[in-house]
Amino acid sequence: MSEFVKAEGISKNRVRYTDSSGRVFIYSKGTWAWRNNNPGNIRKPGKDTKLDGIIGYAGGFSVFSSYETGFIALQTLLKKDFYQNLSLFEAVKKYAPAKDNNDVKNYQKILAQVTKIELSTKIKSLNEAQFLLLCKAVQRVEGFRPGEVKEELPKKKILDVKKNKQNLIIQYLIEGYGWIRKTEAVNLVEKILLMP
Amino acid sequence: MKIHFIIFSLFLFACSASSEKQSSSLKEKCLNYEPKKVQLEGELYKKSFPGPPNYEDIKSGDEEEIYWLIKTTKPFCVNKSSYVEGDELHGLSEVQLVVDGLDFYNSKRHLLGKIVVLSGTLFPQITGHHKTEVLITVETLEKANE
Repeated sequence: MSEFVKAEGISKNRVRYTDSSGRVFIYSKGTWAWRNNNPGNIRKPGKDTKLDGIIGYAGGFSVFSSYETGFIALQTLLKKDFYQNLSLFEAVKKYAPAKDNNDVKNYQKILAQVTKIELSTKIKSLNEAQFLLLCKAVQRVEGFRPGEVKEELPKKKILDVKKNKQNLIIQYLIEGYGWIRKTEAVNLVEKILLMP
Repeated sequence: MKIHFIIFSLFLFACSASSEKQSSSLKEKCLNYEPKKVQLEGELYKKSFPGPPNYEDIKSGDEEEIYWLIKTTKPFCVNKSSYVEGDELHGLSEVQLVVDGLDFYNSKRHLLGKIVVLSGTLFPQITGHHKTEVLITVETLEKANE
């Protein structure tokens, strides 16, 4: 597949990607973070927010052209001034506010375990390796679980048929395939490659 | 004829000046995003939302996220901000509260369902844990005067 250039949510838990050559791929199952190439579960940003690689929206979140661009977007977000001046403790509180049923400590605990950094440390004082660990920790807490990718192949049309003396169809002329026997045509329908 | 034209021009100028003044006064009523402090008044309530990993359905295994929100007494607007990269928004009436943790919740639980006044700073929705277009990092939360 080439680089994805467009994406849309097509039903619950499915995202349709189109690549630069027009091929279509369906991401299903897994989690939104994976299906949207959005490990930080970033929503649709403000009009002036510069986050590269957004090619659509699904499930209330941005969809990125690749996992890499989505991960870079998470880094870009956490490198903005309004996060840089916060400590890890404060940043988590802002990223995933404390809940009434289960406060932010769980998020902070995982963050501390993964990064091994004191939560009082300001984000701007992290070195590059520590900063990457922070982003990986966010990805982990958000739940990045892969699902299935299937290519949606373009459906072919039946252009003509050949019949026997009993007037039963024995061969089909299929767009892009030529003449094929009835059994092969049935197989194509089952593979959802042929319009029934 | 010339005098009529001058009077008409003056009238148009006056209308335009008045409309600009009106629009700027309307704009002045909008609140600002952080770092400016703001005050909101409204009913305090809590609501359950589906959280990670799919932000869709708690029964299907998504984490339950119970947050406190305020339904403001009057709709409000916020001005655009380059600092937090927030859009100018109008007609806002629900705001998610960002607080320190369970200690805060427990100390203010008696205010649920009441009209409260809270102060703090506003920021725009960014992540899946943000349930309203604008959120407030709460500094103080008190019962409103009746």
